[in-house]
Amino acid sequence: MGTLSLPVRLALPTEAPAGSVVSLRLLLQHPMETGYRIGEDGARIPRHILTALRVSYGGRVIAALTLRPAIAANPYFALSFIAEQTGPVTLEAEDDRGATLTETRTLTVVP
Amino acid sequence: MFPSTHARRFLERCLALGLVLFLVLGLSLSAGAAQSGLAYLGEELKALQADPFANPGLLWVDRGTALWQAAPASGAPACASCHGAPESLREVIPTLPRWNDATQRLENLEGLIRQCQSEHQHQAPAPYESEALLALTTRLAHGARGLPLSAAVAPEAAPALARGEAFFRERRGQLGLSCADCHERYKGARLRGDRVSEGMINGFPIYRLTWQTLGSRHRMFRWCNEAVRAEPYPFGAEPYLELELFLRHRGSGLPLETPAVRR
Repeated sequence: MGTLSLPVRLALPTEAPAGSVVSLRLLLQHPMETGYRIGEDGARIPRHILTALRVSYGGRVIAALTLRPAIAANPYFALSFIAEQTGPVTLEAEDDRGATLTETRTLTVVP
Repeated sequence: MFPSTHARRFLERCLALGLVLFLVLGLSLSAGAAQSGLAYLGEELKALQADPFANPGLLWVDRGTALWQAAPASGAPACASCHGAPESLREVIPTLPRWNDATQRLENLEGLIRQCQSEHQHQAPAPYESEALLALTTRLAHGARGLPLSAAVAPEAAPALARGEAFFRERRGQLGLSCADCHERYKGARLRGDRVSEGMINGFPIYRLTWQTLGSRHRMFRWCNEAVRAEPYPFGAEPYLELELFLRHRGSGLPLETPAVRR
């Protein structure tokens, strides 16, 4: 298993009041090659897509996505959740060539 | 019922004002100042370009920042070791391409980066359209955003500028279209579901939805040439450098917007 060398942009506030809605935004760099296109040499361009994306907060999975070829390159995701207690927010992604990505941020919940 | 003189005078004033407004608007639109491709985008794409988080071109800006600081494998200094912050070069960006007295040739941003890589970093220069070169180009141009494209052309470059303009106006390809046909004569017109822009280069490298990735000015020239079914020139070729010089001069005053989002 390698590590995705492609960058990810992740926006998450570092602090949030308890009970408030927090939004998380992600922008991943990935070709999301569908596998249906024909290259200049006439050969089919092999599929290369992100297959799974998971976001967990305080050890609990809050979003799990299965990604398909119809998603455009460099996909953008936004999701929101309720700040309950201080804990890690972890993003995990993997593509169909075994590359993985793990990013963790800490969300501090203030009363 | 006849309107009173007051009402008639009011009507006449309205008409006169309307005429003046009409003329001013008409003139500014026809003769008008150069407009960035941004003006030809829909609201959603304008918002995407302006979004300091979600503009996809910023992925390359991030990567460019990392590359700028990374020491090359050759053990030579990193870009940052000599130049400091990428913003230290911001004044140069709007003047590119420019005339190089030593080589007696035009040089653009990609060419300068590649020259630095081979001469000062002792490594093979990053190929055109490689992720590394795009990232560095984007990072440098991003540092200069807001600065207006310069109109300055060295006297030695005057023939190159003239050749660039000739290229712009020359019909080419099986379709027999010149750059000017679309980007001057039919600017703002509908082309399939799209609107034809003025062909300005102040947002490059651009994140182009058609490509689903970032591309340089020369990639756009090549794309346009292929679109009129002409044989494109290689990246960094002399005719493209001359065209780039002409387009920089033609769009002078437009603020740099890198990384721009385009269709």
